[in-house]
Amino acid sequence: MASPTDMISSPKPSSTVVATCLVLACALQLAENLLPKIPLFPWLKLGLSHLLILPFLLRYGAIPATGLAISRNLLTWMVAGTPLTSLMVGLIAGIVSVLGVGAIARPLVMKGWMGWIGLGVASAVAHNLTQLAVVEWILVDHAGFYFQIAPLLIWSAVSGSIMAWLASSALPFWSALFQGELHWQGPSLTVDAETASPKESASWLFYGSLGVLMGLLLLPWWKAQAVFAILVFTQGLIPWKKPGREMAHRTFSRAWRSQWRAVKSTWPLLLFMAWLHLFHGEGHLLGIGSLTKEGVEAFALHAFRLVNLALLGPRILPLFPRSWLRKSSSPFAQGILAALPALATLPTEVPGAAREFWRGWKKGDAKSLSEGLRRFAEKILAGAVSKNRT
Amino acid sequence: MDSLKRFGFVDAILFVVLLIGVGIAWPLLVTGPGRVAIVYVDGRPEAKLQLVGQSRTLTIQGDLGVLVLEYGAEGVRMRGAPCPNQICVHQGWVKRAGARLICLPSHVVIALDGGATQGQGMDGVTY
Repeated sequence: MASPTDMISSPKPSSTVVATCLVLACALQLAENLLPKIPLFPWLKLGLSHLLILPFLLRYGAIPATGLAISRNLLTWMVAGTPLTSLMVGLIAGIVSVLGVGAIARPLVMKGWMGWIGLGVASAVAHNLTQLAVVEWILVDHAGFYFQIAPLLIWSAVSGSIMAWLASSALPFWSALFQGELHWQGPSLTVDAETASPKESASWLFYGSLGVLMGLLLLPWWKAQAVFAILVFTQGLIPWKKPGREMAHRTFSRAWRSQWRAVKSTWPLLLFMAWLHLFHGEGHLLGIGSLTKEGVEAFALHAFRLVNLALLGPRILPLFPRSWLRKSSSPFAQGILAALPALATLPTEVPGAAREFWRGWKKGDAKSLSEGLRRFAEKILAGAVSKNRT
Repeated sequence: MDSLKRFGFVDAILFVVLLIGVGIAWPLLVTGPGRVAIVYVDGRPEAKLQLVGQSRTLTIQGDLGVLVLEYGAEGVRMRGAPCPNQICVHQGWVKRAGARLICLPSHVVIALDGGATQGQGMDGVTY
């Protein structure tokens, strides 16, 4: 067990601790997805992974905690295929809430002027407000979107307090985690360098895709965005490998479903855009209700841009040059590589572990939150190790 | 981490600041993005302005020439007009729902909060 002074010092996290924390952070994020979402505001979340990021921040400092937050975002994008927009927004919000707030708040917590609750709330406020600002700035572009500020502040106070209270109630678990007591029991999970990314040699495609991405964000013409969306959508439906007729049909329908799924995932933001730009847009009235020419054009521009980003995300994903990670000596790069194979089993492991945690909590089997979290973590890690052995 | 407090005095300050922030931001939730101004030229609704966000300008072609309108979260004001008396310019910022900014010589009326749409607004403008 670490002493209080151990816990407030700033050692460097080892790659094993980072890998374990990354798997747990991703597991917590997946567990959060099992909770019901608030209709029309699916981005309002408790932020379960902050349960881990807050103690990590206090233990290792703002920069390592930002590394953990960024690595977690990259991992969930690489493994779970989260939308590109979520990755962009999550990265910026993570940097502001963990690096910005952490750098200011951590010394205050260490001096005893600020508590866990203040840290959690400040971090949640920064995260949620940054998310709102980035979404408004990059995607929605309508000042009316800021009507959510007051509910967001209230939600941040509630969710930040809950996360901070829970985190501060599980101190023995964090001590064990950061001392490496929960590290892999199985073989090394380091990715085989040869098989990590079959498309490694085509990393120029990745740079090209980033260029296209920047272009999409800057392109101010809705017609150009529409043409791009049609091209990307139809291109994705062409069976390039020339399979037989039946196979071609199957490939086509699978591609159609996956592309439609990507577009469908954007519906809450599309709905907000339609409401803001079509009904509360400004410009020259068209004579059809309160529709304005500029409002319709703004909706078309931002809706097609969002659809383009949704369609482009799954295409950029396999091109990510993992050699960047292998060449780096950073514990975060190594942690990502080590955690990658374990993450493949998470979607099947997390629901069972979460249910077990909940049952134990209700029945009182787990005497403390620490014990419950330990059981949850051990189940996740054991599942990951055993499945990767086979 | 045992030595770290769960609640410090900075936390109390933070909650007070948050409460003030909620109070300031609450009107945005109540009014939503719905506060608008409609620009009428010769009695016809020509443009719709959203009274949210930072101030921006709009030029309007009136009967006498070009009028420059400034609008945003603060309301609407006529920044420049070609008329001799400049009454609309001297009126300054208008933000109350139902208020009007009128430039009679140019046949331009700005009605706040969209209360007046075509057919429901004023019958005509005389000068």
